[in-house]
Amino acid sequence: MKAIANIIPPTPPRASVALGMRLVIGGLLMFSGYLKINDLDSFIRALDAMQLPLLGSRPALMIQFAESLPWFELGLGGLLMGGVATRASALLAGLLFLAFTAVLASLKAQGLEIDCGCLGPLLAARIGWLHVGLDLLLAGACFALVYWKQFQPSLRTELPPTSSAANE
Amino acid sequence: MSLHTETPRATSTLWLGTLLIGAGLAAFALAMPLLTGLRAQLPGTLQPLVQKIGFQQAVADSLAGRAVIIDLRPAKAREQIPVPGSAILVPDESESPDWDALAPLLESLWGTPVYLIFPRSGDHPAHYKLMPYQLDLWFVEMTP
Repeated sequence: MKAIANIIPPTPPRASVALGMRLVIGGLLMFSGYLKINDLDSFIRALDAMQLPLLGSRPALMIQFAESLPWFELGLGGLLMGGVATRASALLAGLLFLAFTAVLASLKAQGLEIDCGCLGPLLAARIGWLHVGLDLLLAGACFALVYWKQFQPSLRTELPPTSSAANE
Repeated sequence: MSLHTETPRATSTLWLGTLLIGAGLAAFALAMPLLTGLRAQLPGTLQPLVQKIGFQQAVADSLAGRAVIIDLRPAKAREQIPVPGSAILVPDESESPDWDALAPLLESLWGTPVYLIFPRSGDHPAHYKLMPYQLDLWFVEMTP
């Protein structure tokens, strides 16, 4: 019985935190994607008002982007929540949030008073530094999932001592 | 706080995995709108201007102070058929910093009819830059 207890390593508390973070970030991405898909018109209006480089003067590209980004978020959120390729998914999510941070910070710095569009019609608030900070925080959380040692699943399993070793 | 230290091989594996997942998700994201039929539509403001006015009438309104003309044509075309009186010129590039200097002027045009003279080639990036100002935009027809 003691040997069995040694085989199954106890779940470290940090692993639970990492799981919680994955579920929250993945859930947020899926929720955000779902809301945008349900109201693509609001999302494309928000994008239009942002006048982003490359997209601002290319309507066809903007439509493609507006149609695709919510599905990308939905898929990425699903991967994170399902624990599929966790580190790579978290790294991708971190890069996505970092891109959001850069775009929102740039728009805020330009003094544009436009809707965020982050959570579709649910968060029709004007872009503020709070949004920028929130995206940066989420990016940081994703990178912590990738690079923080305590959040990584242990690759080594403590094996019980063999009988010969026990006899020594 | 201790960071996860990795071998260069593990790092490249991680980035390769990220790239593959990104490519897979991009393919998924591009395919799903086609498969589900959930398509986005451009808002009305981005569609071609509905309000139209003839060149002579536009010039008359501009000279009478009832409207403002924004000339989007290239310099050569402007020289060939100049706008009597005055017209606002805007940058050709949507990322030009000159747009910032123009912002107060454009904001002041709210409520005034703004007549746009487009180049022959079609649309102009300025069309999209002007949209957020929610101006009363008109398309100027150069030929009767």
